[in-house]
Amino acid sequence: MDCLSELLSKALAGDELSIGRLITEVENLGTRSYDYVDKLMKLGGKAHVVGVTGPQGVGKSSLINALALLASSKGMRVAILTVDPSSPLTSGSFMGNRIRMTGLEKVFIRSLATRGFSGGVGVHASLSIEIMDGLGFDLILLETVGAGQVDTDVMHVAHTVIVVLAPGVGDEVQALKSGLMEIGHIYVINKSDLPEALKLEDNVKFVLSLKESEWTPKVVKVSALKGEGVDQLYQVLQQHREWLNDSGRREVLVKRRRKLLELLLLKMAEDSVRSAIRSSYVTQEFTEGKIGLKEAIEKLKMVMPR
Amino acid sequence: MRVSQIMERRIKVVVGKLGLDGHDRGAKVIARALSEAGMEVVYTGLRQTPEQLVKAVIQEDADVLGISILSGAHMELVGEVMRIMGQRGVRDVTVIVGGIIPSSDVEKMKSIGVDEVFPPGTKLDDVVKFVQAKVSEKRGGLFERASI
Repeated sequence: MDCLSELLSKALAGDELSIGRLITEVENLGTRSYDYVDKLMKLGGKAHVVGVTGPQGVGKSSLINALALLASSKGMRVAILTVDPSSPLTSGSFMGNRIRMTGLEKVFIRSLATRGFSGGVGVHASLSIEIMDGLGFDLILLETVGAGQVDTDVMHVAHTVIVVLAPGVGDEVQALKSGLMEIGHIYVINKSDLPEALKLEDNVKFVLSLKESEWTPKVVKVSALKGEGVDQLYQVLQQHREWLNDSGRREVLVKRRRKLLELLLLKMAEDSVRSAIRSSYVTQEFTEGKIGLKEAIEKLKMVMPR
Repeated sequence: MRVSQIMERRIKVVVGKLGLDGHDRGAKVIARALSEAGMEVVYTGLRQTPEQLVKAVIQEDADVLGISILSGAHMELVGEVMRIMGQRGVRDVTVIVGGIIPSSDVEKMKSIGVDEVFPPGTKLDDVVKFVQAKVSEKRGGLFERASI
């Protein structure tokens, strides 16, 4: 018991080895992890969680690198959580976002695999947000998997959502409008040194103008590699945080923790559905046409573990 | 509720290149093979310093560190990695080294704590099997399952 609280107190004191271990423990939902989560959730609720999403190849990692550098130079304690997909076939994952993150001596970076969750975030990232928040990080930058129209879970776990776009990659703004173009508080036109950036900016502004919201989404041009526009982006981030104020931030916290419950319970339900279908004779009866669809569903419901 | 498959402990690997040359093909091939064997592989890319690699191992809580090195300075650089890991209290990490290592240096590498050295031409399958067996041995069983 004491070695558990030892891990937690070392992590709270900022020991990176212990923080790393703690995330693994919670990621695997080991027996002890619930105590850690409970304790840290009581301490948390203060961090600014910023979700960074957008299509593949727009420069999310480089942008996060630039933001993290700036924030940590201003004395903020920064954590980066970067999510990559797990292979549905092998369940392994190749995670390469660290390649673009350099010079971040004071920043804690952790790569997480989706492990079978869709939605671009996953329960492991949700849990890790609670951990880092509870450990006292001021700013948590969450990089989602290269997102399409449906990967919008990030809006439920972040206070501020940055949607990154870049000319040439994913600039079919019209095609994106039903998903990504609805969830951002800040739209970053990255690689702004490229000539098509202006046209993309116009398109983005046009699509955003079609929709009314309490917070008017901001469009910021950035060149993450050259470091241009990062200061302005940082200011806009702070503006959004202030605009949310205490009650807004509280609301996001509630939403985020509900999402955590939802993701965990949905996964458990999904696992029991799959195992019922895999192991029940009802499946065979249905596929061979011996019983109908309705009957099969009713029978499978009965064998599902509760 | 039964154990959920997604909650089982995966093998986490950090793969990186030490030294200043720009040849990362071998490292990428190994990283890909380990991920296809079901491991979660963090690829850190080219021109890592020993300090950066150890930091990645700590933050990612890796079970395995795969170092690719072609520069000829393997004794110095890998030695530095092992020294920093020891200093930070990183234990039970399986360390494997790939690249051009003269056979006369292999024993020296092992004597400073490297678990295995894989020369060019090693079968990918052998690397995968070695890593699985070694991690299992250090962890006391591969499948430490969760309680959900």
